[in-house]
Amino acid sequence: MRARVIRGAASPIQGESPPMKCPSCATPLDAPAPRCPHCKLSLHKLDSVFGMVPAHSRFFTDRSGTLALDEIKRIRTQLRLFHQKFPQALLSVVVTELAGGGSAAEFAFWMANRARFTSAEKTRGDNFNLLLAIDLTGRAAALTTGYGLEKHVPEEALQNALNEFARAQREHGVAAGIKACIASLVRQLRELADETKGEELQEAQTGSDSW
Amino acid sequence: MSLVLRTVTALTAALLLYGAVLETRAQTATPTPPIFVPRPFGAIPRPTPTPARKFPISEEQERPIPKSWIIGGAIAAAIVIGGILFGAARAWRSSNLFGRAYRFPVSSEPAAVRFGGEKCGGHMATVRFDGRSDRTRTSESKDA
Repeated sequence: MRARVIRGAASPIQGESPPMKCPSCATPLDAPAPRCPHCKLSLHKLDSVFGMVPAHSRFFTDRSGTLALDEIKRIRTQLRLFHQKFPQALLSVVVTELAGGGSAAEFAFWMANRARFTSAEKTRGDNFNLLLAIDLTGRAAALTTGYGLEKHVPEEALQNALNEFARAQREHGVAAGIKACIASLVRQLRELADETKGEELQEAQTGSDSW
Repeated sequence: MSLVLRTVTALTAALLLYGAVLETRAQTATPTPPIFVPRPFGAIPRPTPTPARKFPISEEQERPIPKSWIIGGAIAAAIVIGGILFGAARAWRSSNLFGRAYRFPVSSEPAAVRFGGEKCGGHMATVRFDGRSDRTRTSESKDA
């Protein structure tokens, strides 16, 4: 069922931009805009909401201090493994407690742009990073990708991973939810990467036939 | 003369052969008696009788295991081993033991910046821990 959802999404190779939505009010946009025409959201506006970028590490950051050390170790191992499987992409997880306003989605968008999870941060189409932000105060989580993954990973895939997170979190806690989310992402991204590769090969074959 | 010589030779050979046979017979007919003969002291004990079975073996117990059972057991064992191997293969695959890496193609077209974000344009999904998605919540609030 999950695979069907992914396959049913827009083909990554077709060059069509995925539907754009505001991370704050989820209003769909017709064209790229410096701020949301509905809620006026912009990265600069979020700077005033969240202030300075909090201290963070490459793979996992727990700003709430709720997770046990052995759980953190296990999650870090899983995240390292994810990076080995997908060398272009770095999946980072930030667990926080947003007290001064701002939603998990806004925080994820802001952190993904302002934080430096790697020494050489890539921008625009070269950015294949993913960020999972979990707000324990608002009991919400957001999963976002860089511009590079937008064409290959549809929102449905991200939503599936977050649904896995919510399900596991409800039964076994936040750490189990994070692990389930990572496992789901690995599964889906593997399929998507294989599909993309297959479609590229097909395109190359048709291109060589036409020549 | 030669005839006489031939006859004598033949007779001699026959006599020699007969003698050899007789000697062999004499050797086999008289076995060597044993040097030490066991002579047990006192009365010779009677052999211990075989104890009777407490539970008599029924005919069903004596029957061999049916072949269908053996085949069924072998199939069940093969299924269990196959299941274990399948699980192990999945675990190996998921733990990236074979070291396969996946890559996505880099787009040649430059991505248009949205909301001032140079790395991320807000392509995301959200969820609430109680299972309701933020998207649903937004649409619900809009409807309200």
